[in-house]
Amino acid sequence: MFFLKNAEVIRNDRVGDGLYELEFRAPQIASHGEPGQFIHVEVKPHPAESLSPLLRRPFSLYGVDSRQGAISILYRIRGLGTSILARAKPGECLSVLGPLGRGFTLPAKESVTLLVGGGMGIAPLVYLADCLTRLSCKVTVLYGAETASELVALEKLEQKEVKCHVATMDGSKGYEGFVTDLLTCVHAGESASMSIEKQADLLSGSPGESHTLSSGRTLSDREANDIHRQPDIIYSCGPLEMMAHVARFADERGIPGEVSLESNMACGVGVCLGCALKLKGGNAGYAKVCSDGPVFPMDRVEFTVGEEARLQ
Amino acid sequence: MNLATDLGGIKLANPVIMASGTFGYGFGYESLIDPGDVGAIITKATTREPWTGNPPPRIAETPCGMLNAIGLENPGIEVFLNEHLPRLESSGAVVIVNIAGRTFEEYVELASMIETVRGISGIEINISCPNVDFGGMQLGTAPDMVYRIVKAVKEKTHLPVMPKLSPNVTDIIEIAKAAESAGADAISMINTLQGMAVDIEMKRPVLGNIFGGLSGPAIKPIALRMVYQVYRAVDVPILGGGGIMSAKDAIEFLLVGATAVSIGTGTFVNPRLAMEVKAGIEDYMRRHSHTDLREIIGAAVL
Repeated sequence: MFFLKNAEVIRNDRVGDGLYELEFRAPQIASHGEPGQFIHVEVKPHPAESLSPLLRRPFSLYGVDSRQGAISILYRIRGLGTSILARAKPGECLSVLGPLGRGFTLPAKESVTLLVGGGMGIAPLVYLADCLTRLSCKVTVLYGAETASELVALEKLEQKEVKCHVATMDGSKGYEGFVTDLLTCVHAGESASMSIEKQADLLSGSPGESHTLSSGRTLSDREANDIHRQPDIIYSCGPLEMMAHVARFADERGIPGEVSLESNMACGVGVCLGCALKLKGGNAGYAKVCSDGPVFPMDRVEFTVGEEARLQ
Repeated sequence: MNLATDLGGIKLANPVIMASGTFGYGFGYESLIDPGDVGAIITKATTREPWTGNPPPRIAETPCGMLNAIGLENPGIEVFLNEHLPRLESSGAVVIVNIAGRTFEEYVELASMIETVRGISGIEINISCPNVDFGGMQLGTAPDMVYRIVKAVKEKTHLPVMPKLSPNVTDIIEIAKAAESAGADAISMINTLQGMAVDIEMKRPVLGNIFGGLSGPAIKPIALRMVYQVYRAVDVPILGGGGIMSAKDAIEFLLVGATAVSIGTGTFVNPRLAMEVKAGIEDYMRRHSHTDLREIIGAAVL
């Protein structure tokens, strides 16, 4: 079930360089929105009634506060649509369609879960983490970004009952390098007294610098045991290359997993067939990111790098 | 106030029609639009066998418009008749089926199959899709081809037949006249304009199909001009559309001769647009003291 609402902007905060968090008042969407689902937002320059940009923009649910009737999205200015969205002021109303799509499959209570997010891909995982902790799941988040200032969801994650490990490409926080390098350490089970960022440093062959690159946080044995137990399910969202790596990791170990994908969309509800995606196996046809997804089983996605959606 | 209109034998309670390919089989927008509340629903193009459509990316946004190259993806006529039509029929919607094929024989076979089922009020012949190798625009850009296919379909059905014309032609009047002389009961226009978009970073076309069909408000002036021309040239009623984003846009089409209007891309932007257009047409008629829709059809044609 979805709704079309003129939703009031509660806040639209700049949270980093070109990065924004926008909160809407949308009680019905808040009470129905599941993690991994998205909203389709009309973006209009001022004055309203402009016909360009024409199409709505899809954003994953980042936060849902059903008590306050509020939902939030996290976005980076990538083109015309998002740059207009960044100018929306509190008190303004934007047309919001949602919640749309098929979200993440929630596991059984008390499952061990691993979430791997890169860049803005962290957005649906933050809301997912809320729902998982409510199910008393053990939640480990591996969170990667270019640089420390882009880890805009970190504070939110650290307030939750989750274990969060970070990687930045420039080493300004956590492990220096790809967030997927942390995967091996999560699973290794050795050196439980060492932080996984530090383990990753060692494994990546830069031991000399590891002590300065690591966040320094040391895990207790109990924490380490939790982390080192093989996850029951892995969820991921971020750059295709990152998700492809996560999918390989999951496949090699026989762990089920899901990824959330993005695509250019027109309708957002499955009628225009514009956001076609070829899945592995199954029939010869195309899945639709908006209505069959945006969440798909990891082992069904091709991860053709270079076909990143050209969103604005 | 009488909003009822007759589109070549297809009786409509109001003139607002959901365009093919933008409303699925009537229920994609769930409760936002009741298919029984609009004048008619034109289904996604239906072929004899399932078509998988074109490789992605299939859409690209352009100034005041969008390009699409879906490639007529659809599950085939049997799935439509068995799975989608019963629900549409029970909603009370007026259903017009858009048919497409790779051969003349396929169009004829589809027309025959539709002839025998209940719940369908008319056939829109897709001879104007710019995104398929055969069975689309190629059929609709030569007057003799249009004549042959309309005539062949007409011979197989008692249902009103309405070819959807391509704007990608030298002379739209010639095409419309060919359709009329072949027995078309109405004319639907316009389909998308062929175009393309380029990704300068990747140095390649944006769309997987390279070319796509342009729709949205960018094409409205062209669509209006063509409806105006065809209205003056033929006697059959016209379903007019192309870039309708408001009641005002729809009224423009009625004034240049459209008997009914089709809402397409605008639904993606505003899923409630069709209902707003219907209400806006009523408001307009009240303001101008019209009591019957027929009073405004063609009123701006000089």
